[in-house]
Amino acid sequence: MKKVALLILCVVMATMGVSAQGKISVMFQATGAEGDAFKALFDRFTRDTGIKVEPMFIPHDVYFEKFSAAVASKRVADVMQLDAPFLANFVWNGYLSPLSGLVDQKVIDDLTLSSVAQGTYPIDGRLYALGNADSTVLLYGSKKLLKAAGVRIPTSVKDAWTKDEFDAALDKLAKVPGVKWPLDIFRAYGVKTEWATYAFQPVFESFGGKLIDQKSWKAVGALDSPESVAAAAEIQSWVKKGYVVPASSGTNALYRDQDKAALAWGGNWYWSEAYPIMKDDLVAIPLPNFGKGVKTPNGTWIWAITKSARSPKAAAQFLDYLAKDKKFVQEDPGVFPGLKSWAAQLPAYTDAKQMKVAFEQASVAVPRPIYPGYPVLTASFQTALDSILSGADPKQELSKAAAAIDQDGADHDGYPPFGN
Amino acid sequence: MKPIGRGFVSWVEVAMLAPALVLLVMFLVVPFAMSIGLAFTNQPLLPGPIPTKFVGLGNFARILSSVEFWRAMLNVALFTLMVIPLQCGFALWSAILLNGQNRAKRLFQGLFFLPYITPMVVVCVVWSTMYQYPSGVFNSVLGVLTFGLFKPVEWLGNPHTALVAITMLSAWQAYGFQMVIYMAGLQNIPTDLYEAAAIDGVAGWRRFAWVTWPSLYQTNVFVLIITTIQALQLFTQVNILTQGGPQDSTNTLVHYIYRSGFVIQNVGRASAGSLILFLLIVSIYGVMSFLTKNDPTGEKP
Amino acid sequence: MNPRRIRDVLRTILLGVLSAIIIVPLVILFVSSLKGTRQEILADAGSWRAFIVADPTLKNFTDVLSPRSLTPFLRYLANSALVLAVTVLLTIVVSSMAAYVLLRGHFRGRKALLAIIAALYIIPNETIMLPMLYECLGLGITDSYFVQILPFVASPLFIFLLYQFFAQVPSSIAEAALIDGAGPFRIYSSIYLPLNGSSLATVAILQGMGMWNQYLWPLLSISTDNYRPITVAIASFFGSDTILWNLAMAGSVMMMMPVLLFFLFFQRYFIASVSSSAVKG
Repeated sequence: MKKVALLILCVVMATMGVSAQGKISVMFQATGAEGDAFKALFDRFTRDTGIKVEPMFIPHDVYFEKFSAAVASKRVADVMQLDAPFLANFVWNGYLSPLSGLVDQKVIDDLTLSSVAQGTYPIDGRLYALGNADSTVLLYGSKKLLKAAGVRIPTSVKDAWTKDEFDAALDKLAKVPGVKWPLDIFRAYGVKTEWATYAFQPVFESFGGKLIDQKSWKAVGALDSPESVAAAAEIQSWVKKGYVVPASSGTNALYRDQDKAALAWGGNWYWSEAYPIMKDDLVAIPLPNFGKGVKTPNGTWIWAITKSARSPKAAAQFLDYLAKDKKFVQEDPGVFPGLKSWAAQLPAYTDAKQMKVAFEQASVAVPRPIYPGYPVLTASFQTALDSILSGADPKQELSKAAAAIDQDGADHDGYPPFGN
Repeated sequence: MKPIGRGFVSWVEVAMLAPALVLLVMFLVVPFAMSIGLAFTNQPLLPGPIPTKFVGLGNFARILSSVEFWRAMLNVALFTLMVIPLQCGFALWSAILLNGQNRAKRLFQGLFFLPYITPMVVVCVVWSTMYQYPSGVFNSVLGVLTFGLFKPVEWLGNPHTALVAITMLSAWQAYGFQMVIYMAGLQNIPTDLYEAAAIDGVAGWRRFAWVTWPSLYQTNVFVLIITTIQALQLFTQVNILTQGGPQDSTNTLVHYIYRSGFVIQNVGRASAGSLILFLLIVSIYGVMSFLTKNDPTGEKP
Repeated sequence: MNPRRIRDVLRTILLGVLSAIIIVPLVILFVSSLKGTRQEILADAGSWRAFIVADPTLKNFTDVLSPRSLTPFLRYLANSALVLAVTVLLTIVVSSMAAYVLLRGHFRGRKALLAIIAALYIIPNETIMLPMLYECLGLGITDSYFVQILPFVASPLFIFLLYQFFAQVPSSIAEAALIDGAGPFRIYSSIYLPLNGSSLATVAILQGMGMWNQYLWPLLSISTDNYRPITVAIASFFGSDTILWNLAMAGSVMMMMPVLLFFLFFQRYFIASVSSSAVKG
């Protein structure tokens, strides 16, 4: 009798032991095949570590809304993705845990500079999120058309076009037959979306301007400084001269047959969209140097551990696994590495004929301002840029936006300790 | 009339009315009351380190003094004025055609209703390709029909045409709703009215104007009010296609509220905006009810 | 040919032409769903090639339905169908009963109550979404079918609509039944319901459509896959800067199928014969 009881006890304890291995919930967004890659990743993780994963998939366009609902219902996941510029907002509101001590140090060391910059909270200098992927924006061109215009094609960040060269290139391209618009800046992505801030902050930085002063955290004086205004005016000039693909013309101007564009100011993901059609005609070009050096954007959806995570260790294990997982790299199309070891695995990014330039740009990346008031900052900037692209006066629009940003700061008492 | 025991009658009636009332209170009245409460605070979307304060009429002052808000009001008024004749007019016309049809009626009904079945996201996506500049379907067809006189237009990118583009899309997607209501309304017109008209030799246009239209009075009022209220709440298409642009030409009240809540992250301000929208609609409804009090068919409402 | 015939033929032709124009966007949708890559869809989008497909393929459909997929399409479809069926049924019952009582009830303040209910229609959905979420959390019904059904059963719109249609039934019938000793429920179920088949069908269709396209609310109130509706699957094809057009089109076509069947089923009630003869005399 006793033996049976003991046996039962052992079995019960064994099963308890297995389930006590842990469970983590992961909140993320993904599109199409990306989502399938995640699912496969979760399955592999559970198989290799015994920790069960409860996936919370949220479509991209309502991610933030769902997060706020989750916070309200006190059902925040253990591990969550977030859009990099919103890191400060989440940390300031107290939702995330620092990663050091939880995540494997080797993984942290493997992060590119750009990844580290995105995930660090400036107030305490600690890393709160990491990304295995990253992103950048560069210029894509059609070799044929550039040659026909007699424009030099830069091969690395060091010999990127200067402002004058770039303007001249646009002028020349406009005259090439078959080119309807020299430049596509993807206005079709949407009038007021994160793309505006993401793709054009580097222009401001390259002119010597900035979106917000990162010591006083005031936008007036920074966003409407002469350098910033000059940057906006430059962007506006492209549209004014009729060089830019209009918003209603879709996003395929670079590779379609009619109404073509010669250059596209696009994200790294655009490569996998254009390459199958353009093949060797497609060339990757660094962003221009408008005076203060080539500046590029970075930032993507990065991973963090929430303060309310029931088992931070299990959560950290997941992040380690994610960073080290080799299969995920291959399955997720269009990914841009945020880890030094990854870049070595992706042929497209080491091949000079393909995207090597893009990865090189990571070393001159400028993250968007890491500031809790980022939501209002980006919304105001988008509105201003939209008006500027439609012909409004750059100084006026930027001043209005700066005032709105500072107003939001004042509403939040300056987001202490940022503003104080 | 035989007297009926009041107690018994009331009990059954109450039981029949109760489910609706309970659900309405639970899922409309209560949340709305909560929302009203929030309108006087600066409640942020995400609870953070700074506690929520009571700000009295602060939110309202901010909203009513914002240019963006008044532009949204204007846009919504324009949209309503454009979409009602287009959508309801076509709906009524279709309903009349379909009601009188015998051959393949079900087929045509199905085809005419298809747009309403299409999810708005899909509608927006397909129509955005149709609105493409310079050679989307609209630009191409109009060019061909006018033998080249028509110059391609940036439908969604031009502040003067964007709202019109959204109106056409909305009317296409949603006219099925009014059509179905009109069809039921037309069916309810007693045939003896038509018989009498036939005897008197009234047909075609005159029959429509003297028999059909007046008999549709109640349906028309209903459709008008509902369509207006729906139009004032325009949101989804704008959120997907233009996000209020270009240059605020398609910003709407609900979109403004949504941005206040989810982008600027101020739930208090969003609730205040909703309250203003609610009051606006109530006043319009009141005005419309007053204007349409008199029913020529003599049916008591 | 007599004028009646001519008019019929003309009307048929007119309907044919109108139908063809109306379904243009849907033809584009359907044709696009058969195109293999999203580049092809985009490249064809700005021209007449949007209407034809060179190499039709069903690959998009199989991709969307793939079991490897993160968003289990068929499961979501089933969820939507269940929610739709239950909500429509409950809506018809609850709204028609309420409409009847508001019309023919015997207590004071019916008119005022009707006006208040109608006014509730004005409350914009987006306004009450967050408070409603907090409330449902408190009630413990999130992550279930209930949370997708209950908030929508009592709709001011449909109560009001049915009230209007019920009001068109002459009161003489109801009064006659009252004299015969029938109770309210009897009058409701044996007189008002049968006479208003087409109105009820109308409500069924309109409510069905509304429920099928629910997106934001289920997203906020449901966190696990088991209860999610089909709209979430479609949304997964729209990323931040890339739209998987081929999958989105195929998914949308499949999403429209069940609801089309739903509509076709209820359609027959539209062809109800006019009720006036039952009323006379």
